[in-house]
Parts: sequence; structure tokens; C-alpha cells
Amino acid sequence: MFVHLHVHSSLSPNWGVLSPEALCAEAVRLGFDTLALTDRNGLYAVPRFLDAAREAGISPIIGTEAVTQQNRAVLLAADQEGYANISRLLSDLHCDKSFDLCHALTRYRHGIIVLSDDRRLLSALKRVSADGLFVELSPGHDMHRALATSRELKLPAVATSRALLRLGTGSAGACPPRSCAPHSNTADITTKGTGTWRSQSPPKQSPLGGDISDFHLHRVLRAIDLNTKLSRLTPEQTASESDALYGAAKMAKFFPHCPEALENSRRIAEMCRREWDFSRTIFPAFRGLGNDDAFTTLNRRAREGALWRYGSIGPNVEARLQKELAIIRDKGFAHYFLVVEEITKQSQRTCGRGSAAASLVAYCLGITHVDPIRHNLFFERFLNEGRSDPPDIDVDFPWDERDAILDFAFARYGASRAAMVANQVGFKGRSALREVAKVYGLPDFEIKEMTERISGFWRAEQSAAAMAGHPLFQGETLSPDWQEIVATARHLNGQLRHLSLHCGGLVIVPDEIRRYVPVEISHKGLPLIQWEKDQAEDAGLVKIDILGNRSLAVIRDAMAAVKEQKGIEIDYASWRPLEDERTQSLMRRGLTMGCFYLESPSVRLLLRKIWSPTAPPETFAIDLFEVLVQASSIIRPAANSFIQEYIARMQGKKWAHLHPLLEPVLGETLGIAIYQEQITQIAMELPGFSASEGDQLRKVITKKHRGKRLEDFRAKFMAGGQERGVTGAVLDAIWDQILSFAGYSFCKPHSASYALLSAKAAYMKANHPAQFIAAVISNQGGYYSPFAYISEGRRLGLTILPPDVNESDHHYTGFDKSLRIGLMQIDGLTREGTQRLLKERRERGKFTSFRDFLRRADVQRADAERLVKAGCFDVLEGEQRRPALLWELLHFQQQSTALLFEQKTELPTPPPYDAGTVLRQEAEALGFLASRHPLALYKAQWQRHRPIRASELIKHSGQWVTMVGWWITTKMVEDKRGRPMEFVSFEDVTAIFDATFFPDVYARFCRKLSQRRPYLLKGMVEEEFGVATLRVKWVGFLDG
Amino acid sequence: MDREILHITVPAFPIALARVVHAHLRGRPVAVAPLNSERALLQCISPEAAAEGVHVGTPIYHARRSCPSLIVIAPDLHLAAKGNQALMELSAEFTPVVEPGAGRVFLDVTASRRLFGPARDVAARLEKSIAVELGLEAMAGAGGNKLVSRVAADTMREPGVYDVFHGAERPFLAPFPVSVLPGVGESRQTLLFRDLNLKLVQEIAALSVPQLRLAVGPFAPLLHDRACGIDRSPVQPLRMSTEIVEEGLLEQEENDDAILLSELLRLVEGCGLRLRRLRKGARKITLSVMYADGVAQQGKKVLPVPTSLDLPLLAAVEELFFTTCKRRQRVKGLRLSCDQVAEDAGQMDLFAVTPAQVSRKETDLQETLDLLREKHGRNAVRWGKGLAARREVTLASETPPEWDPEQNKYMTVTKN
Repeated sequence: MFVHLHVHSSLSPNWGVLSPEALCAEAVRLGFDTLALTDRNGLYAVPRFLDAAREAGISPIIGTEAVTQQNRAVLLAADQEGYANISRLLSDLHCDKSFDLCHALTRYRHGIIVLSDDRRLLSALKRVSADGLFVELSPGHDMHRALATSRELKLPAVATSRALLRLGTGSAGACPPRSCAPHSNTADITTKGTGTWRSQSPPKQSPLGGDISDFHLHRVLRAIDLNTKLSRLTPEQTASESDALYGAAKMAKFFPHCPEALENSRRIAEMCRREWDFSRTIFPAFRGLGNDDAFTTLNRRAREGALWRYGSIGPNVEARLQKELAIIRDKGFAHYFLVVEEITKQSQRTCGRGSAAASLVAYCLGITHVDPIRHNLFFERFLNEGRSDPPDIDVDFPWDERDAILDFAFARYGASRAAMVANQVGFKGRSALREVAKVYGLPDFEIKEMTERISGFWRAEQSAAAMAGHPLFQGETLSPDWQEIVATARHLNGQLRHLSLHCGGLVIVPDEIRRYVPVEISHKGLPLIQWEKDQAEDAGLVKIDILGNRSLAVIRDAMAAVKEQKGIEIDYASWRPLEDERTQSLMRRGLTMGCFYLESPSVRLLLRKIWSPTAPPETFAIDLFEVLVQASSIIRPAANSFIQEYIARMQGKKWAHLHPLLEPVLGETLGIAIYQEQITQIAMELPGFSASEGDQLRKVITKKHRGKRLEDFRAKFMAGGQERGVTGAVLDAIWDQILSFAGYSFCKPHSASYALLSAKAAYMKANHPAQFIAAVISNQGGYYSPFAYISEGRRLGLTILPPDVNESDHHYTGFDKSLRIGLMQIDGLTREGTQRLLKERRERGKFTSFRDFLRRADVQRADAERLVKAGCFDVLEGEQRRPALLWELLHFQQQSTALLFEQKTELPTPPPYDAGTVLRQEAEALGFLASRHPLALYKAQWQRHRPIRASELIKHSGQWVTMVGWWITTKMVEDKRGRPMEFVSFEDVTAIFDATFFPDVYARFCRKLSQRRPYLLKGMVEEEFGVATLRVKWVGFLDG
Repeated sequence: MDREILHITVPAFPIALARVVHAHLRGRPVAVAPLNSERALLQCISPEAAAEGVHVGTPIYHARRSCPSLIVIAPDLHLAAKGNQALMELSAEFTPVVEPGAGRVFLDVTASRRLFGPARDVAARLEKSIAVELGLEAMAGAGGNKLVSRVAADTMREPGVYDVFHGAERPFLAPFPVSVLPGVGESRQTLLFRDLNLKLVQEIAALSVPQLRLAVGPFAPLLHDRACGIDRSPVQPLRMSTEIVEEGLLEQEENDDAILLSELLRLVEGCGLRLRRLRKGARKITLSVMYADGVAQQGKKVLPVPTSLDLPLLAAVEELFFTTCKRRQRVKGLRLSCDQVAEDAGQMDLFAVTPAQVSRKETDLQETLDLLREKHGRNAVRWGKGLAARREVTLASETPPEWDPEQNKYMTVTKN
């Protein structure tokens, strides 16, 4: 009997085609009970493969195919030691430039079975020992030579097929196999494959005569990787067409002359370990302390922290501390807490988030900042007795301090114990299409035409569907080339291209990281494990998320500016921003643009609706913080109908629980499920799930792997509920609510952490708007563009000052009632030029003239040109002199370069620019108009249409109106029937307003949206909960 | 003696030609663009199309949106060549010094004044004969140099002659935008002039050369001359070249090597035949690859001995092809030129390794092939390599997946 010992999944970088799940399914179909996975130079898919194998009922063998310039060998792990050795060897392969496979194998040979047809390697290894050494015979790969090697070296031969393709089904990719019937005609092609038969010509057509074949996909992958085209791929650069996952009988036909090779495959499989367990959690060790010492330290620190937070330890705090510490001790998490605490202490402003915010210990240690007792946060979501997977503490740091924090962590634990979590970068809808189209040689402009209409979030399958059915592609027939490209691209899903650095996941182990997982080196030079976060978690590696957060930096910078200018210092730890009247009012009016987490149009709309003029006074009495936490959680794409209901209940609508059993769970959230952990709680209360079952249900719903398991849970949910006497209709309604959590939802502690941060930002905005807006734009990466924030600044009463050579800093600066544009906004200005300018100004005072600037600052010509055109010298020299300054610049440059025959040239005195040129230069230099609102330029045009003002939208409720607008931001969603529609925010000179494009209008006008042009809009004003929006019916432009 | 240069231009030349052949195109908005894709860019447009807001360089489907009645025709190289030839022939009746361009000609009529009168008379006669013989409307400009006569011709809206008197060149050019001056194209210089607030030719003419040198460096004296209406460049008739050139545009843009090589074989056979007819061999081959996105790459190679037989030539060209055509981008056309055409037994390098003798058999084979083709047509005997290779096509018969509402229901997309 035969076992496949050399198999590649789609996680063999730029090589494999089929996902581990598809491989397992195919192996089961062919009747195998054991399968090895040997991805190229890595263990990229091991936890996933083990999972898939368990589901499929297959015994997994772990291995790899190590390939270097000189050598090639398949390595299989015979035992745990062998696994560790493979992992170490692969780490060396990726990290060590002078890596030599022969040499490495002599070092890490223990527990590894080596299959190879590399003669040099085999004879070198045989000199040490012939144990676990086999000659690999594969159809289509010089089999007779390998056989000769085996006889000469007296080493046993083993049969493999180097499988990466699937026979017969024709379809490929990570999609589940659709047709599973065996196809005999394929066998005829492949049974020729003995000896050196090799596919020279590309496949005419796949055996089924329709679909994109696995082999074609493989060739496309190779062409993408090697940056070449299909016709120029040499046979050495690709796999052979015969490298397929054959059935045992088919395999036997290849080896009539060498049946022992088949036997040996079974023998090897028996030598390999097939029971793998990765579920043990691996914690970091804190400063080499033992478990007991670590716990004692934690206990002491937590109590110190409690005194710092509360002043004294009350009975409820004491009780909670004891409860948490007991679980932490039992589970051995003390090290983890101490490590996170130590890292968190490296920055003054952090925001611990995620479920960890429910922990009082974390609060006392200063990891999180929301009081879990005061805000009633559910500790069990974070840690409970039944939970087996590791907890997860995420900490946000100001984005520009993150690298320093990572440096600290690596300095403390060393690269041998710590490594970053990877992202396994594959293809998404847009990149798949682009890369395949490039292989097909299409010109860039044509590719861009297509891809710019595809969302970066869509997967390949979805973008193929969009090109067939989305209104953005209406009325275009795809050329045959494009049809083929789309058909190929839709199968590119999980195929691994390369690893990249995960944004913050850090793994620390107590001993040696390379024992557990191979390590590579990232572009930035940080060590990187081969698994992404899900697999790392499945393998028991505890990750600490160190994430960059721009808003922390915004708050930090604004606070620093306030301290410097006004001398006001705010104590971050004891800061209660929501006790401030102005902050409350700002949030209730939804003026939260720029405030972390509350700035998107949908959240602002929600806030405005809750506290709209129509709301009864009781609504204003509800605790603001609680509402903020709820509001930031309920904004989920799928929760639209619940949001309406939520607002109504907030405003005093009478309501009752769907079932009395839900009272304890949904009482605080007005009977609507808002937080992630409420799934667990509902499942425990209603159908009587156990805590861990409930937690599983939560995971299934909120994470990606759904499908059949969800169905099982639904059945169980219904059955359990009915047992407790709940009617089917009620259960259905509750199940629907639960499902709305799919994809995107938060737990309460997480939302609470963020709500606190939002409130701090709102406080800064309400009390120090100039400094706040300056910090928001300077830290970049807000929800809106700088232009939108500048408009917001104008609405807040700030004067926008142009960049100036003597006044501007690199970043934006806010002072009193004015906002000065920073030099960072000037397009193309080099960092170096800015630094020279600032340094010179700092050291030797302000510049007195342009000439003075040129002499002192010594910047490049292009930089000086940009400064002039951005108007930085308008105060010194006057706007009229801009062209004259450019002449001066040219002259200065000539003088500084050509000294030999110095010429005295009289400079011309050009006339000043006309108004249009000045405006164009401003828009070119800054990327937008800052001196006035762009709509102001079209005043003559819009006055003819007699538009209404956005600030008075509510007065026209229910009427047909005309409006002018400048595009600010856009959100595309699908309606209940899956038809695309769009919410767009526009602004006119008075206010921002929200416009809705329902599917019919969207289909007609979608190509006109999101351009930077003055819009003319016609439609109905709709009012909901006292807030008006525009339902657009017609779109045009003012400028053409 | 003052020169008299005449410039004749036929606006939207390819369209004007097409309208002569196809009456239904007259008076309608027409544009020229390759028809292989709706995304192809317009190369030339008629005034009617321009009036509807169509611009050169926009994709076809874009243009159709602003002008639904737009008629798009494919570029007809053959017709264009015939038209140019006819323009040349008509012009040659007045002077031998004629410089051709696409739909344009420069005539130096300084010396034919005695025969045909002043340039404006020649222009009028030429315009008339172009109208009569070719049915095309041409505009003419006359002046003391090429620059002035060209600008003059281009300002004309309808047939006629714009005669710029001698000495009036500078005031004539003064009010034009700087972009009419050669050397101030769409390059960085336009931007620079815009920033320096130099919009009109007169503003450049008013500057001194040293001032101008600050802005454009060594180009300053020439530019200043031009701005003042001084252009000394002569009218250059076509030069004869010893190069043997074969050019091929692919029916469809392609990046499959097999197809490109078969096209290459066709070019090689063309060159080879012409070389053998001359009884000469080429020492240097140059291969230009034109890509679909407009980029061109060129490779050159010097052969050890003059070669004229197809097979050795092909071997050399193929090698050159693989080192030249390195991009994945589809290829639009190929151009092979054989240069340094020498006698078959030319001067040989003293120390070079003796080149492999061309065997008698090979020469015989080639001769026989040439004879056969001469007698029975070019396609009577062909190399297997040259048989139109098919691109590997993986039939995509899968129906596109449905736009699945369920799957996308919760996918919120935020643009920008």
C-alpha cells in the first residue's frame, strides 16, 4: 500500500495550488488514511493542516521540502524532536545566508527522515548514517537515474508523486471540490509518465474541457512569482503536469519495476509520528521567575495598583481581585500579565483594549484604563475556568512609539525567544486580477481601468461576480482575454505569496522560539514566525498585540501643545473627560469629527439621532459613557434595523424583552444584543448552553470558519430553547439578532476602553479645538482627508493660515483661534529640505527675505520652488513677487554652480500671476484649497440653482430640494437584496450633510461619485428621529 | 538672399483621407483609433468631434459618452502612405526640396520664384491641385523659415494662404502661446515657463539670452532665436538609406513568444530575400519591439560575418529577441532592420576566428526556396516554425459566479 509523502498545499509559497482542506478532502476521496504535508521551505500550514486532517479523519504527517540553490530534500518529522529540528533547519535556511542543506542536515538529523534524489546530498548524509535515508522516485522526474542512485548507494527507494495538482476534477483553488467523479480520460494522459516524460507543451485544455485546470493555475502562479510570461516559463521553473495526487492503484502502475518503493512509503509513514497535539499553551517567562515567584510578584503589583487606582481596597475590589488572581494562578497566566505590564510601562499613553479590559488586575497594573467594577464588565469573557485557549491582551500605543516598544521587547527577550506574528499574504480580488492580467501582458492603464472599480476587501470570487453583475461594470462586455483572466483570477485565493509583518502581534516563549515554529526575517529585520495569528493561536503560542494607534498620539500632541501654550496640565490617569459640560454637549450633537472611533458619518448620525431635539428629557439623563459604549458597539454593518429600534427605545419607546429569560442578559442594553459576549450569555440563558459551548458559538459566529458548524449550533439552539418552553418565533428572532454579529463586533470591555479614549479626544476638541485639529491632521490617518478636517476647523471658528517659511513647523500647529498649515502638507517637499529649513530657523533666527533664505538654508532647487509656489514667502515678499522669486532662485542656482565665468545677469521683472494661477498653485502644492472653500469658486454657477444651505436641511424636511456639495467621504454598502448602494457625505460652505444613494439611483450615477468636483444634487429631504438626510435623485456637476 | 519656405498641412489627415474614400464620413464626428479594444485611445479627431467635446488621447468608450454619434475608424497605414506619397508628388512639381511629414509638407521655393512666382502663388496653386486631384482641403503658410510658415499654416481655419512678410516674423509670432515653439513641448519646460509666468512668445523674445539661460540652460540662444522668428533649419528632403527594414504589426497585441517568433520569421524572410537579391549580407541587425503601452525597446547585434541566408539570420535574430523583449507587456509590432549591408565577401577581420563556412547545401536550399517562392508565391513553401502558432488558450467556460447578496450583505466597503 502507498502513502503520499510529498504533497504541497497552497501554502507552499508561489508553488502550491490546493488548500490543505482541499487536499485532505481529495485524499479521503482517493481512499487514503494518512497524508503528509511537505510545503516548500516552511511549515506554513501545519496547525491548519492538523485541523483539516482531524476533520477529514486522516492521520497527518508533518514535513517540508527544503529547496536551496544546490540541494533538495523532503524532510519528515519522525517525532517531536524531529519536528523541532525541521523547524530549526528551516529557520536557518531563511535567516542564514551561508546555509548549506547537507551541512545543516548533519547537524539537525535527529528525528528526521530524509527523502531525496540528490546524489551529492545522499552520499554526504550516508557517510554519517544510512538511517532514515531514502531515495525519492517520482514519475516525471528522472526516475531511472534516481533508481540507479538508489542501487549504487544501496539506499532504499521510496515512491512519491510530488503532488500539488488534483486529478480529474479540473477545478482548482481553495474552493471545495465540486465534482468528485473520477475521470478516466485523465489517466491516459498521465500513465505515459514514466521515466523522463515531462510536459513540454502547455496544456491544450484541461481534461474536463472547461474549467481552469490546477496546472494552468500553477503555471500562472509561477509566472507571477518569476515576473515572466507563460510562454517563457521553462519546465525547470514549474512543476510537472504529472505531479498530482494519484490514487494508490494509479500510483502502483508507475512502479511495476520497483514495487518496494511503494511498500517503503507505507513503512516510512509508520515510522513518522502521526498524533500531533499543539493545544498546549506556551507562555512567556517573566525574568526567569518560577511560576510561584511570578504569581507572588503579580499579587503584590496588583495590590499596589489597586491602592493607586482606588486609594483603598474596598470589599468589592478585594473580592474581585481574589477571584481573578485565583484563576490567573490556576491557569499560570501570571507571567503573561507581568510581561505585558512591563511592555506597557514603556509608554506614558496606552490603551489596553479587547476583552482584557474586563480584568481588574489589568486595570490595577495600568494595562487598561476603564474601571471594570464601575462599568460592570464581564470578566468571564476574558478568562474562565472552562476556557482552554490562551487569553489575548491587546495594547495600543501611539503609532510613532510602536517601533521603540518593539525594540524594547526584543532587547529584553532576545530574538531567540521572541518573534513577530506574520501575515500570510496571498491574493485578494484586486491583486489577483492585476497579477494575472500582467502575466497575460495587458497594459497597465487597461488593468487599472478594471481594478480601480474593485474593492480591496473583495475576495477573488466576489470580484469575478462583481464584474458580471455590479452596476459599476454595466454595459461592458469583457473581451475573451479578460474572461480568461477573470476565470483564472477567481481561483487565486489562499495561495501564499510571501509573509509580511503582522501589525503588532508579538510572541514570546520561555525557551527557544525555533523549536515551535520556523522563523524568517522580515524586511524591517525583525524575526517573523511562519504562521499568521489564527494558526499561532491554534498552536498555543500566546501573542501580545502591540498596536499603533494614531489617536493616542493625537491626544498626546494636543496635550503637549496645550501645556506649552496655556500651561494647563492634565493628569492622564485620573482624567474624567465626561464630567466636562462642553465635552458632553459636543458628543450629544454628534460633532465628533476627528474624535477617535466616533467620527464616521454613521456614528455621528447615530449620536445626533439619540439626542435629537425630539428626544424626551429622560434620554439626556442616561449615563453618557454607557451610551457611548453601546453606540460604538452597535454600529455594525448588519445591525441596521436594530439601530433604529435602539434609538426608538433610547427615546422612550415602550418595549418588552422577547422572552423573560433574557432580562438579566439584555437588561442594560434595552433588550437588544449589542456586545459580543451577549451571544454567549443568551446561549447560556435561553437554550441552556454551557459557558464553553456558548463561547464556541460566539467564536463560530464572529470568526471566519462558519458553514456547517453554524447549522449544528442553530439546531442545538432551537432544540434547547424549545425544551425551556420558548416558542419557535421568538427563537428565530433571537437567532437573527445573534447572526447580525457576523464578521464585525466588539465585546463590551473593548468598546469601553475605546469609548474612554473617544471621550478624551472629544474633551480636547471641545476645549482646545485649534490644538486638537492640528494634532489630528499632523498624525495623519484619520477617517477623513486633511481637507475635511480643515473645513471642520473653519466651522469651529478657526482661521486657516497658509504655510509660511517663518511660522510653519513640519506639522500643523494650532494656536488660540488659528490653525497654521504645516510644511508636511506641501506636496513633494523633501523631508531633508524641511529639516534644513527648520534647523536653520531654530539656530539663527527667522529669515528676512527670500535671498536670505537661499543663502542660509541651502535647500535643493525643487524644494525652494515648492515653498515659493505654496506661498511660504508671501508674507515676506508679497504674493505678486512669486514669479520674480523663481527667477531669483534660478539665478542663485546658476551662481552657486558656475563660478568660473561669472556673469552679471539682470533679472527680469515678470508680472504677478493671475488669480487662476495662484489658486491652481495652491491646489497643486497642498492637494486642496485652503484659502477658501472650493465651492466658493463656483458661487456664480450655484446661485442660479438657488440651493438650500446644508445647515438648514432640517427646515426643508419632506421637500424636494437642490443642494450643492463638495465630496467628503463615501461608504458603499449592499441593501437587503444585495444590491449596492452608497452613503456619501458632502459639505457645502455651511455644514456637512449626509446623502443616500439608493440602488436605482446608485446604478445610474455611481460612476459620477467620489470625484473632487463641485456637485449639484437634487432630491428629497428625509427626516428620521429629528435628523435630516438627503435622498438623492439626480446628480450633476457645477463645472461642466 | 531671403528664403521662401512654404508649408502645406491637411488637418486631421487620416480622417480627411478616409472621407475622400468614404463619403458617409463627411460632416460627421469621426475619430481614428485602433479598434481592438473599447479602451484604445483616440489618435486623431475631426473638427465635428472636437466641437462635441472629444479630445485626442481619450479612450473610445469615454469619447462615446460625450459624443454618442462618434464614428470610430481604424488607422489605415496604407492609405496614409498613399496620401503622403501623393502630397509629395504634387509638391515635387514646384521644387525638388520637399520635406514630408504626416499630412504636412515643407517646400523650399526660394529658387523657383522665377518659374512659379512668389510662395503665396505656389501655395494657391498647390492648394488647388490638392483639392482637385486628391479632394482634400489644405491650409498653407508662407514665410522666411520653417517655423514661421508652419505656425502660419496652423492658424488657418479654412483653405487659404497665410503669408508672413519678411521682417515681420517676430511681431507675427509674438502673440502666440509659448507652446508653438519647437522644444517647448509638453515637457518640464512648459511647467517651468508657466511658473515663471512666461505665456506668450513675445515674453520670451523680450528676455535677454543670459536671462533665458537661467531657465533653459544651453538651449537659450536657440530658443531666443526661435522666439524672435529666426529659424535657420533647412528643408530636408528624404534621405536614401542603405538599411533594409521590415516592419510588422501584429493583428492582435500578443505576448506569447511562439506567435512573436513566427512574426519574426516573416520579417527575417523579408529582409533575407531583399539582401539576397542585392547579393549582399548584413553585418548588423537591430530589433525594435513596440509594446502595447507605447514603450519601445531596441536591441542591436553585430554579426561575425555578413549574413543573408534565412536560417542563420533567424538564429541571430531569435537570440537578439530574447535579450531584447524582456517585458511581459503585450507586443504591438516588431521592426527588424539590417544595416552595414556588405558584399557577401567583404573585408574580413584579420585576427577574427575563421567563421564557420556556409555549406553548399544550405545555399542551395535557400536558392531553391527562393525560386519556388518566386514562381508559386510567397506562401508556397514555408517553415514549420512560421505556421501561425495559436496562443495557448484555456477555455473559460465557467459561468461567472452570481453576485451573491448573502455573501456581500455585511461587506461594507469604504472607498478612499
